[in-house]
Amino acid sequence: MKKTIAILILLVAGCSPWRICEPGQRVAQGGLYTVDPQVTWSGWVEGKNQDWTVDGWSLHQLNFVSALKEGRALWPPLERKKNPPLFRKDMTPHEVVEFVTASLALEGARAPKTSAFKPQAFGSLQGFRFDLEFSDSHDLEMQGLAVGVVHEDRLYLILYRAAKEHYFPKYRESIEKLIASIEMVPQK
Amino acid sequence: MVRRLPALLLVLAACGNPAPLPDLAPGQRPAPDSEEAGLWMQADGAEELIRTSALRIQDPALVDYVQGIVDRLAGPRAKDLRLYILRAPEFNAFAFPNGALVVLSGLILRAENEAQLAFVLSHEITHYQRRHSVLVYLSARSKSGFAAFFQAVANVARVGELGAVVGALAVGGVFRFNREQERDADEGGLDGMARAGYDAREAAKICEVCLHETEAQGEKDRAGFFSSHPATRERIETLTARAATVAAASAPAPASGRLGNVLLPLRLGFLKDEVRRQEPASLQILLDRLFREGVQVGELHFIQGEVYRVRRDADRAIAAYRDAVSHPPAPAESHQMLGILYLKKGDKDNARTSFTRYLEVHPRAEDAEMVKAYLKQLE
Repeated sequence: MKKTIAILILLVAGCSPWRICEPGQRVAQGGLYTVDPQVTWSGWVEGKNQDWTVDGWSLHQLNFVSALKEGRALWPPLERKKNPPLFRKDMTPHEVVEFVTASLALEGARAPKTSAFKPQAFGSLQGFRFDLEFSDSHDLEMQGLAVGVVHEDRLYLILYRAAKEHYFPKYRESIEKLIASIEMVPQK
Repeated sequence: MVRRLPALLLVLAACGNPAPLPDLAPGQRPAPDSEEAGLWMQADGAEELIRTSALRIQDPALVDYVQGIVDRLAGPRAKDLRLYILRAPEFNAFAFPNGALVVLSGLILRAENEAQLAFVLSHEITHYQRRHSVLVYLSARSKSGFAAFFQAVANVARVGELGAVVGALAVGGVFRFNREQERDADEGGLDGMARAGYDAREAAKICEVCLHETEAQGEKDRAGFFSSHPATRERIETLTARAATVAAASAPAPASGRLGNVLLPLRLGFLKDEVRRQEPASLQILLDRLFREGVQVGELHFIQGEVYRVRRDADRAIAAYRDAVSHPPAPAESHQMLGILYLKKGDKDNARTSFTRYLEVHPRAEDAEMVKAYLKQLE
């Protein structure tokens, strides 16, 4: 309901939080980098974060978390829950992975498991990546992957999660290409 | 358990109380055209979700062991009950009106011996046998109407932290029993465990375990088995008094070793679930008890380190992880966490030693590449 009202207000104000993200048209994330969407996505913009989907949020979604500050939850709604995991600027990549899985668990993900955790370039920065499996709040088996970096005390994360059957394999190649397309925005 | 239930449950609990029903006889099912049959149908649907849930624990040793307790307690009714053990760090168990019996791993972890677990199971079997859910339903329906009641159930089913399973559990858990029904289940549960040869004095002790955790966490009440009426303190007193009247008829408590042996291969995973729950004060109560038992303390020291790490006490966490690695077999993650904490403290030598040791004991670790990157960074 609140989201609907927010959408109506923003539409009336002429600044819709929805956007279409087309292949070849680079999209900026958090003022730090841009990506090439690879396929056409529907995007929802909320502050510095963006959430994209093609087939619907419950089937798959691509989340961009940008410039997350010390003491904040991965997504603002989690801060209203009991004992939310909070980002700390001194987190090691291991602790960021733990932070992400704990946040997903608080959202309703069951038994999140990570694998293939390793260093990976995030544009020109040295970041990390990991694969992910869990059951969602409807017991649907989900698969995902994430890349991230802590840069100037802030977390930047690209998280893709999709139904293990059909949707994850369907978009995996596009997601990998999207990650490989990261280009840093020249900083002033 | 289902954190948004209380408001709804208060409404349900406030409704009038219909006359008691006769106990379900062994093998008895409700008449097909009865309201109770409709209630069972709802429970059947919920049970199916639980049966196929990813949270369901299928470990044969644990399932056979708990099933053995159920069989012993339920006697001729055992064939009417279907046991499901779910992996969830909650101190809870449920009996659905149709005979589905759900036990959460958090309860098994906290039971100090088989008799304590038997009491909780016996309590739930009593709710089933005495058709308390049906009475709550009839009471609620008389006030709010059938449609409104099931709409409320449907709404509850969408919330909570166990996802779809919460919805299923809500069908069992939404039947918030009133004070008299809880007393009835306590009495029936205690008598049932005594008849089965368990030491009835253990019933009050598991209530005390929960009370200590609640107080340690600084909560007035906890969602879970003991969140319902009557209050935990009163239940402890009542159960203690009643146990004194039946204790003479019951055999000595079975040794805690049997439960411990079945639990041990799963214990570390269950304890990690508890760490993720981020309630370190109540977890500490459990850990202290497990340390006193002194079984496989390496993994307990590791969990102790995790508790300190949640509390952001790096020095104590390091000491605990060091204790873990000096009490093999300890989880390989003890070395990993030592490496991470030393890395953050800038203690390069100890970080390098710990990460190297981690890769030695766990060369195929999923994070091996990341750890190698840390080592390179430390060069």
